[in-house]
Amino acid sequence: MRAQFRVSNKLLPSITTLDATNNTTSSIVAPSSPGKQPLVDILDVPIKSKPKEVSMSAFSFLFSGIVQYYQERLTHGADLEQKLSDLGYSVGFRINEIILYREKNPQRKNRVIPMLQFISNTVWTMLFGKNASSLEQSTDSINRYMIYENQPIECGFISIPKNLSGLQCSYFTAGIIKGILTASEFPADVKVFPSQNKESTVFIVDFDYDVIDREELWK
Amino acid sequence: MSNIAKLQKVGDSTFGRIEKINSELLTMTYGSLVTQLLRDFEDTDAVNKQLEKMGHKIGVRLIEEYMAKSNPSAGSCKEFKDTAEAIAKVGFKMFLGFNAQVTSWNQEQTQFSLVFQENPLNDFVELPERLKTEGLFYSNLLCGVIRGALEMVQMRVECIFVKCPLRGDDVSEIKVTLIDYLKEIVLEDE
Repeated sequence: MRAQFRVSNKLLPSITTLDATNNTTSSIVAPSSPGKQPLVDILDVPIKSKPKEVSMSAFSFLFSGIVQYYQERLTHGADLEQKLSDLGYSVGFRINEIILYREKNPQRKNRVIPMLQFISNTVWTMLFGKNASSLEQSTDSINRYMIYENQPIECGFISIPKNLSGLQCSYFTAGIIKGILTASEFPADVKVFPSQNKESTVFIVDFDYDVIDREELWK
Repeated sequence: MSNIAKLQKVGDSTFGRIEKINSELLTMTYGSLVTQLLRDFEDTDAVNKQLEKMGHKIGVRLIEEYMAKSNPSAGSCKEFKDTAEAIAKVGFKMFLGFNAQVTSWNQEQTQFSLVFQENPLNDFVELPERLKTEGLFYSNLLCGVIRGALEMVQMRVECIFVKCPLRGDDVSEIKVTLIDYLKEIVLEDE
């Protein structure tokens, strides 16, 4: 697979490509049969301005298939949460790019609060069709913030059996948040807990102390 | 054929009624899943089989939702032909948001091909050369879903991915072959 450098200037929604190998023929397959056409480079395919829609049940079925797959292979519940978080992490990395591309006035966020507002408003709307329930800063520690969500999308059709009562399938969304934060240079750890009143789910975002030190420099 | 047009209307109206989400979430989630499977199983054939198996489990439950949400007045499928059109026009539309075409019927009317241009699972995906030569069917989950769903309505089929745009073809094509009809086994009380 040829390596590619992609320079994306986040102030302008355009992406320039530099091919490291200068090899222009590697992505073209000579048509050998009538049905085949030269492969188009993935980076040349235009991105539709309005995303398509699929049924929510398609995503729910896929997510349930994923959870079943991991349950067969893993013995500890905590590992399942980690695996879901890893899955969400790679989703978050990629979703970050497309959301910024589609934003009307894309601006790079270098402060923590605008970044978290971006996640709880723009990202949440793109993924779930609504804003997150609320965003709060913890009074206990300076690097901790909380995002509350009343109805996490992936857990809509999941019922947790009694022997796994501590399991949180929202770790997938937590992984997405972590992926977006890490891709935007805000390394953080995101955990999931049921909130105090057991009604909503809370995503606890613990930023790395480098991020907090950087915040201090801005003040 | 007016039956196809009727089914198309059923598919469109069902898709209009159900709750929808952004297709990119589905695309990225599926991509992460395939990437993770490729890491877990080194062998491409094993990944294809695992995707088909996962699809089968999904299909077994998906048929219930299909029956519940799509308008039952569209009529039951009297022949395999009707089943094929129902999958293409109603099934694909209500879950993935696009229509497929049914082509290439064989003489005994037991084998057909589902052809579709767009596939939200394939968006933003580029396969490395190694996986192309090793024969990874990226959307093999769909084959399993069809097999699982039809098994619940007493049809044993075999679904194979024939063409895939990620491997250079212009369309996606799934070949569905009817093997036999399953008899409903009624367990006798002892």
